[in-house]
Amino acid sequence: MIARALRDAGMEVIYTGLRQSPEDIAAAAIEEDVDAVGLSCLSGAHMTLFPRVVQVLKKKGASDIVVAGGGIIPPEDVPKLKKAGLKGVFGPGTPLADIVAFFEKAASGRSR
Amino acid sequence: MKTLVQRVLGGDKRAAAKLISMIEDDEPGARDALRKLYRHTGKAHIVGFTGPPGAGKSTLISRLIKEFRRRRKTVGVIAVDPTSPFTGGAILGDRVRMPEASLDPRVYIRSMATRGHAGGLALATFDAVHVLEAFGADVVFVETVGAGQSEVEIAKRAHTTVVVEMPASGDAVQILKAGILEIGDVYVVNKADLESAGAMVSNLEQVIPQRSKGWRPPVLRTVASEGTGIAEVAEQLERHWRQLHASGELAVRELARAETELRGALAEAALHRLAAKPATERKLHRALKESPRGRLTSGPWRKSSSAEPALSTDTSPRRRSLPSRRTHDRDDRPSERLYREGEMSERWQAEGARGRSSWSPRRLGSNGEAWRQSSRHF
Repeated sequence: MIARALRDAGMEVIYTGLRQSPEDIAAAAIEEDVDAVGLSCLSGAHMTLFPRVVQVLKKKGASDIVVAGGGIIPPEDVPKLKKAGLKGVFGPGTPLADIVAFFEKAASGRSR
Repeated sequence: MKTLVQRVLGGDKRAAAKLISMIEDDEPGARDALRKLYRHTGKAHIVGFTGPPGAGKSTLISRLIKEFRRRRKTVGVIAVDPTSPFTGGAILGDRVRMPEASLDPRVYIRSMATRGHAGGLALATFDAVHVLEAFGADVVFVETVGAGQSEVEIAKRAHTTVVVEMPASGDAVQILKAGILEIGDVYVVNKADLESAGAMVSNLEQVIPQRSKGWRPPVLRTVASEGTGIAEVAEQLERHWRQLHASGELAVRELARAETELRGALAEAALHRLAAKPATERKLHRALKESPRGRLTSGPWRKSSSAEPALSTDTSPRRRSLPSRRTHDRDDRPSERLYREGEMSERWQAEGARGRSSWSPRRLGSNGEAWRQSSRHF
């Protein structure tokens, strides 16, 4: 649903599928030269998986790629995730328009 | 500090990725970098894949990546998906079928949106192929959109064209009329575990023509999802590559390929120039206002004859053309407003977009003979 909303906002969305490891996601993000990565996690493992994507990207010299995440995320985790390097965290009930606006800003703010 | 070009030549994925983005966005510096890379290209085997959506092109490619890695080859992949004509956005989903590959430093997969280019490819596709060649790819797979019968541009640009079909995707008549069935060097009937696979294979064997001397296109069976038949496909791809070298056909195809690229670049440059003139836009607006909707031709823009009425009611699609979609603000174009109002059919739009490339299916003729002859002529 989010991918479709982003496409309808004129973005090219690369969908990598479910259950990808942080390493897979970072590698795909680099090959595709994306502006931003959007993660979704409903399993409750977001506190380990999300920051790991940020770390792997940093290790590969791609810390300019914006990382954001959403899913079932308790409000108290939000500041921790932001501290871990996520630029956007979207809990349940976030309006789609907010998410689209975030990625639009992320894409325009990044320079090559 | 190494330059981007040096990093690409050194096999740096991030550098290759950046350069491909620069090419896609037509950024300054992209062309210069390509020029420098050019002499490091020309060695890779370029294999195009086309066929209807759902036939299993992505899955087949994913299996072939593994097979060619087993053969110690470096593999590049460009997977093209369509851009939405209404929003300019796209969902690129071919990677879903190619998991795990990106962790291998000798595999590079790149998704690409068509961005309005017709013919099943993006404008930047083959420049990106050159980048992957310079990056060190021994073989580059190009996956087309696969919308069906018009995706034949790939045959002019790849060394080997693979047509992927599946059982029960049409009777003998469908097979006969589809231009797609005259462009393959290798045919793959995927999902061959389905009941009607045998009929598909024998239908194909009856109708496919020989595309070049000394090569009868094989019809192979695979079940890509299970990995069945993949080694044989890889074997035939390599055999075709060797045969192209041995027969001298390679030189012919390389020339045809260069010609297509040059003509494409020329047409693009000409359109950019035309569309950049404010007068073009003014004339376009006026013509659309004056004419009955959807019934105008490129008449007003043609310099040639004053005897020609400014607007004719000829609806021949070949003569319609619009300025390049890329160079204008999307909302500003009268054509865009018409799409929104639903006055223009999608087909109309497709014809308009086709005007951007040098490629015209008409020129090919219904049997592809014209092209074959012209490429021999070189």
